Amino acid sequence: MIAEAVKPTLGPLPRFVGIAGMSRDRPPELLDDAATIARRIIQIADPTADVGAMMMRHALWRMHETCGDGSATMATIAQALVQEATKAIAAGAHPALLRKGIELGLARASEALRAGAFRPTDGRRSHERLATLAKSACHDAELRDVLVEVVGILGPDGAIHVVSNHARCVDREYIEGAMWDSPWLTTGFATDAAQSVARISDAAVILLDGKLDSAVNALEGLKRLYGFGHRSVLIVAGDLSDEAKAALIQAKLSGAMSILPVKAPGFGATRAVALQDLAVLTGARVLFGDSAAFAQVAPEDVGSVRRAWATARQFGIIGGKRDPVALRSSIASVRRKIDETANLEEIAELRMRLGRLCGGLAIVRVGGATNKIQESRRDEAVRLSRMLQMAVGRGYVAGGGAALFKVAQSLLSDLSRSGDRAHDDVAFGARCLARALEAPLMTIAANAGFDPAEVAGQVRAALRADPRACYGFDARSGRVGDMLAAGIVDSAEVIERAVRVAGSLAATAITTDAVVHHRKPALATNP
Amino acid sequence: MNWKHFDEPAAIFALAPQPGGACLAATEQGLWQFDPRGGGWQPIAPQLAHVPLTAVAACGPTWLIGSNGDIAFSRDGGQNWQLANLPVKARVLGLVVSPQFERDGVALAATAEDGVLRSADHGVTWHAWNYGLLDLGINAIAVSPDFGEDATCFAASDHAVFMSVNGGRAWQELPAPMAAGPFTSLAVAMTRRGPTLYVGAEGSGLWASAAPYEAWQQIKGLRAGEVNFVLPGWAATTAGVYVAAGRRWRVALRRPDVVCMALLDDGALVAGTAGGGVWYGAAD
Repeated sequence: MIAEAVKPTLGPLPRFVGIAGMSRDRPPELLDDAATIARRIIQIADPTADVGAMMMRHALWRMHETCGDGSATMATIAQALVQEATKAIAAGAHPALLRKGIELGLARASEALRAGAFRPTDGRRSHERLATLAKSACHDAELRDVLVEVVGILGPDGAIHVVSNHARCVDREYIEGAMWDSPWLTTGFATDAAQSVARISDAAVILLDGKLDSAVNALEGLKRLYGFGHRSVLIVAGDLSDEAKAALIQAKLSGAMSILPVKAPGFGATRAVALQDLAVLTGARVLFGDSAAFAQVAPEDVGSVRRAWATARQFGIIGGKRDPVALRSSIASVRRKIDETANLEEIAELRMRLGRLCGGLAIVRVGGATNKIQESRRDEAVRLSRMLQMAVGRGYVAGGGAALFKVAQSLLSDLSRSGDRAHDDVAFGARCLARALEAPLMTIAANAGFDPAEVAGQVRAALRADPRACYGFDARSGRVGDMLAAGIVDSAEVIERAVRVAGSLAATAITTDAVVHHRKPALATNP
Repeated sequence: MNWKHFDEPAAIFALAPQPGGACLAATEQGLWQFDPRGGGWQPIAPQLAHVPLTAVAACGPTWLIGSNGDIAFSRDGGQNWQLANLPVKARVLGLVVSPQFERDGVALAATAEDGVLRSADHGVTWHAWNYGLLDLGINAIAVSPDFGEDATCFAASDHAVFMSVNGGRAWQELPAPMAAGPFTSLAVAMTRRGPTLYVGAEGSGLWASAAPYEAWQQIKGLRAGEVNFVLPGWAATTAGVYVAAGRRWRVALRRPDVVCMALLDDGALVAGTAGGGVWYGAAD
C-alpha cells in the first residue's frame, strides 16, 4: 500500500499524492516526495499488512536519510519483486531458494551497475552532469545552484556544513584549511580586537591532552620552544589555569613570542580523535598529561603550521607540516568507517573529519521567508548535498530507470543462456529480480501517461539492436532514446543502494511466515 | 637541430615563450628577455635586476613573475610592476596562465609550502585553493591545452600527482605510483586520442598517462635518472635533453644541467641551465 502511494512520484513528470489532514480543520497535503509521503502514513488498518507497510516505510526513510534520493525507485523495485516472488511461491517455488536467487541476482546487478558507472573527467561535463542531476532532484533553483557549485568545488569528500541564514537567500562560505568548533582559551591573545580574532603565522604546534595548570611549567616549556628557534606557537590544550594564563600573557607582552592557546576540541574519545587528526596535519606529537609534559617538550614533539587563527567559538589551521603517509592512511581509515557505519550522526561527524583532513569545508547558509520554509530548505540542502557528493564520488548511470532496465536485460539474457529450468527456484528468484528491475522505467512511463508495456517493448528492441547504448524512455519528450546522450543521469551509488535495499526488503518479506502482534502498539510519527 | 649557446643570463629557473619567437627568463638576477632578431638576451625591468626570480608566465602584455615570497605583475610588457595580493608570503616555484588568460584571467602558482595559489583577476589577487591537495609542497603545475573548456589542471608534489577539474579550486590525487616520486615536472600534450599527461620524476624517469589518468606507463628510451623539466615531446634530464620521435625518444642535446625549457612559436627550443646561459636549438 505504501509502495502504491509513493509510485506516482517517480520520474520527471510525477503526480501528486494527497494526504488527508490530521484534523478536519487542516487542508489535505499534496506531496511529490516519496519519503515524506511514507512518513505521513503512520498506520495501516490491517495489523498484518501494517507490519509490512512499516518495514517499507522504514526502508523509504532510510534511503532518504542516507542517500537523499532513490526512495520511490526502491519502493517500486521492492513492490514488483514481492509481487513476482509471491506469484512464484503460489506456483510452488520454495521461498528460501527464491531468496537465494534474489541475493545472487543482487550481487550481479550491483556489479553491473558499478561497472557501468562513469565519471566525467573534464570539468565542463562534470559540472553539466551535476547540474542536470540536481535539477531532477530539487525544484529550488537558488539552493540547487549554490550546492552544485559547492559540491563541484569540494568534491565527494569535502565537509558541507548547512546552517541557518539571517537573510532569506542561500549563501556559502569556503573555509581554508581545517577548523574545529573549539574556542581560544583567553581573549588576551586577540591580534585583531575589532574582529575578535587572533592570528599567527609560521607557528610551532603543541598538542597537550591535559590542562596547562602551572605558570612555572608553562614558562619552562616556552623557554624550551624559544631555544628550538620557534618565535610563534599554537598551544592546543585541554584547559588553562589562571596562573598559566597570566604567565603566557606576560610572555606574549614581552614581545619575544607570539602565542595562541586554544582549547582541545571535544571530550574523551572525541578529543583523542581530534588531537590525533591535529597531529597528522601538523606533524606534532600529542603530549599526554598536564603541564609537566609541556615543560619537558622535545623538538620531535613540536609540529608546525603556516597559519593559525582562533575566535571565541572556533579555531583553525592552514598549511600544517603533515606526514604524507600518515595523512593518507588516516583518510583511508575515515573513508572505510564511513562505508561501514550505518549511524547517520556518526557518518556526519566522520565526513567533517574527512573534510578537515582533506582541507575542505564549506558553510552553506540557508534562509527562508518563514521559519518553516527555512527548516524545510535546510533539510533539502542536507539531502541534496549528500546525493550530489555521492554522484561525484561514485559516478553516474543512465537515468530514468534505463540503467536498471539494461541490467535486467543482461540478467535475463544470462539466465536464458545458462538454460535455467522452470523448476529451478534459485534461477527463478534471479528472474524475479530482473523483472522487478524493469519496473522503475515502466512506472516512469505510466506516470507520464504512456503505455508502460509498449514503452518497455520499444526499449527492449532498441537494446537488442544496440546493446552498448543505454536506451531508456525520456518522459518529457515521450521518446525512446539513449539517456546518456540526452544528458539524463542518476547517481550510480543511489541506484545501487536502492536495488540492494529493495532486494533485501523483498527477500525478508517473502521468507517471513508468521507475524506476532502487540495488543496496543505505540504509533511512531518518525520512521 | 642546430644548437647555439648563449652565456647569458645567469642561473635560470623558468622560461616563458612570447609571440614572435621571443622568450622571458626568470633568473637569479631578475628578468631577462630573449629576442633572436635583436641579438640574444637583454636584462629588462631594471628595478628587478637584483631580485632572484623563480617563476615567470606571460600572456600578451601581461607578465607575471614569482620570487621567494611574492608574485608581481606587469600590464605593459614589463615596464611597470606591481606586487600582487597574496594570502601569505609564499615561496613560488612555478606559474602558469590559462590559455584563455586574456578572457578568463586565471593563473595558478605552485608554492613550496602553501599548495596552489589561484588568481582569477589576471594576477592581481591570489587565494590558496587546496581542497584535496594532501601535500602542500608543490613542485610543478600545468594546465590542459583545453583549459578554457575542460578546466583541468595538474599539480605535482614529492609524493603524488593531483588533478583538478574545476580550474584549480579542488584537487584529487591521481593513482600514480607513490614510489616513483618525487615528481618534479609536468606537461600536458594534446594527442589524437585526447590529452596525455607527462610527469617527470626525480629518480624514475618520465611517466605518461592518458585521460582519465588511471594507468601510468614509464617512457622507455630515456636513461633512468632525474627528469628536470618536461614539455610536450621534450624532456630535460640529468643525461641530456631528449626529444620524442614517434614512439621513441632520442637524445637531442647532451647537457646534464638543463633545468627549464620553452618551445618558441617558430619551433625553436630554448633550454635554460642551472649554471647560467641557455642553449638555443633551431630546426636544421
